[in-house]
Amino acid sequence: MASLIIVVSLLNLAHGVKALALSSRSVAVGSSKSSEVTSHRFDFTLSTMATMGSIEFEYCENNPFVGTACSAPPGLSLSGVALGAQSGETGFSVDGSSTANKVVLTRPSILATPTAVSYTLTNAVNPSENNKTVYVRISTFSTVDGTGPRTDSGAVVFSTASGISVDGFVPPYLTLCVGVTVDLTCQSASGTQLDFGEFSTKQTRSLTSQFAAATNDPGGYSMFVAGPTMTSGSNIIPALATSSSSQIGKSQFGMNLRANSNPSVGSDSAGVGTAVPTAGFAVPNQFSFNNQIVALSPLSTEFNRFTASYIVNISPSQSPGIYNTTLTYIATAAF
Amino acid sequence: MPNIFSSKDLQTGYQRVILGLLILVLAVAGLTPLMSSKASALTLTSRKVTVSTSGADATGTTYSFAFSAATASPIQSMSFQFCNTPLGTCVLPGTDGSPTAAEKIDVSHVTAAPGAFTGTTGTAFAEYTGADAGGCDQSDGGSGVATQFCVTRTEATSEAAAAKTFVISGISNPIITNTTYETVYVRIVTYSDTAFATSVDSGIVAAGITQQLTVNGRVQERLEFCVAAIDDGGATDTTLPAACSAAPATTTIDIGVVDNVTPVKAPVTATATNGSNDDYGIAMINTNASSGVVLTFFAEADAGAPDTDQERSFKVDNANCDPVASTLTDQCFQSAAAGGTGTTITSANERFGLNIPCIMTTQGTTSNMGSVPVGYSNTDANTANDLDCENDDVGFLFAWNDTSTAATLASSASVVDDEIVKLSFGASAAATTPTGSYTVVTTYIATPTF
Repeated sequence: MASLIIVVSLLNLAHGVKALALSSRSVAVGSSKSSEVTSHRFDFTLSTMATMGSIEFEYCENNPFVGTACSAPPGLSLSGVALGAQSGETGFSVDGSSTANKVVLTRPSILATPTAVSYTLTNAVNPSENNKTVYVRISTFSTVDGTGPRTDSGAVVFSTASGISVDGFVPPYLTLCVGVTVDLTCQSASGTQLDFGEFSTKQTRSLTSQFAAATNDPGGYSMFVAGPTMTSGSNIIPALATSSSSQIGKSQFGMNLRANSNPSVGSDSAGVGTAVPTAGFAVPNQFSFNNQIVALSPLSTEFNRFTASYIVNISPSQSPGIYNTTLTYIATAAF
Repeated sequence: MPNIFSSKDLQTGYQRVILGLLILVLAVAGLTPLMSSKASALTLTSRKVTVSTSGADATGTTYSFAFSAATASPIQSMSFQFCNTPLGTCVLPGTDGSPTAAEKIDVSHVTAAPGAFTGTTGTAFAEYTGADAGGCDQSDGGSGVATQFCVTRTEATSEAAAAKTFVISGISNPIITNTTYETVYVRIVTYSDTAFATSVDSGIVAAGITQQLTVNGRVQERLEFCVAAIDDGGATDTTLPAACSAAPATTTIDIGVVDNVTPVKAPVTATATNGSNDDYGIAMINTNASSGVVLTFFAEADAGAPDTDQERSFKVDNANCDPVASTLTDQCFQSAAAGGTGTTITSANERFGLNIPCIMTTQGTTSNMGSVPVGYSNTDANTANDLDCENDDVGFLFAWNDTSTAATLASSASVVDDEIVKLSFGASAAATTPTGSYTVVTTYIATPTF
């Protein structure tokens, strides 16, 4: 019989190949990054029950057609490849006939059954180009060195790809809020005026305000309270220069950042931050006022909210008048 | 009655000369029927045979004859003789030598289609299987050299001199061995009686048996896969590439300033206030893998880091991260949870992650990518095609993969034609997240299964 066969494309006809197709075949690369040393895991299902002694993995950039000329992908190197995991048909090792773009796995020729198999090649060097399509032609042989007729064959494909870099910038920040009352995270703050009412020689007058702060400065922050003591013209209520208790009948102005019982005023700080009151403002029922740092955190800190308690006592000789002061809270961070 | 196409009856030199001239003339005329000096039959006109296949060795072939009777006469028998020449001794088509049985055209088991003789209201023909009779002397009922197929019927009604058709089916075409074609000549004779004795009309038709063309082709395994950062085109987005070949080379997404007040995500349209580049990511896939494709990703480790702590997080290059991922005072963002659940990013809670606003299908013809894990699907759990999904998605559910093992982002169970997976990145700093320029490089892998 004479029969004219026109082969439109190059097929697996070289060497009279009648190999069956490997099915369910894929290659999963450990990384698609170009020039990366990575793993290539091949999964496929054998189609033919036959003796199998070797498996060939041929990497080409031109086409996936087994048995045709193969152009090695630039930069690809399989020279250092080792066989990692293997399953299904096992007992393979890398054959010495392997090249820079071809790996031959070998074992003694024994009968293989149509089954799912998996082989992981490690230390493969990806091609050096991004978005490079690489065809891997897979063939099985009855011989131990990838020669002779192919039993089953098929191709898989993978692609290198450029990665995506995500950038962002976290700026230095120091968040501070001050008010009669403030939210722990400075979402709100209300009030800027405090009024002691009428001072008394027989009772301590007290008030509270709040502040909250946080910073990402690794050195933390310092909270400084600046301002004069309470004055009325030339008359003053002396500030407590050192930490002292409240003494009724003695003119004094002071503050601290704790919950006090004498007088009953204030509360301890809230929040998970690391800021704490400094000496002079950290002991309950002990007050002072000396234009100094009242709280600090030695490292970056989440929000803390402090309640500042102010006390005023006056002596019988305290001059009458309307006393006031303006206090400024200053937080500093070094960054 | 002798076979009128056979040369064995040409006895004299004169007859041979005349016949030779006739052969020459009629062959040039295209197989106009040949008539020996003894033949009184007229010529069947408008005759042809149409074969159901011209393939060599084809079995069950149908030969459909059409001709016009030249003579108004009863037709009660017909013979169809299959030869490799139009005249002379009939040799079955099949070879140029002595054909084997398998190589011959096989007309020994043909069947005439019932009622196939059209143009008459008379009785249908049936195959003649009796002994040699008249002009039917080479059928299978005789010598065993079956070159003829003969049919008879009992119908005395005269047939009009008009167009007729007759179908013979079940013929095995000859095998071609030494040439590229074989011509089958069918010599047709009609008879007015049932004994093939009195011929009415005759004619020859030809069918060409020739080689068949086998056309092979193969579609190669294909994967076109690309990843890029593209500018946000908004509600009238025209920035999406038509194919990977048109994808931009840009790969950097800058989400700008990340603070503890308002979470940000790419694309960040408020470029004027936070310095982002208003880009987002895409992963475009085109593959003919019939079992589908899986898109996975992992974050590259910071090669310059002093150890492996949080090395795949959103971090400052070379920073020494704390072994405890939840630490908020190192220059390494706490990652969103893995794709199974993800994490909703809120202000002042340090997190970084990725999600998929949608999968664009307008660039190709398929809509097969999907199966996005819940943690990567954002709060609307909807990744359907949406031109401006990167801005329409208002949720802040993100997930992340801190491991070196690629995590699945999306997959298909069938082929994928230029589908684009859009990638958004979101972050929020804690109050203590140290200042610095943070970065992470992600690698994407498309794994088709053929």
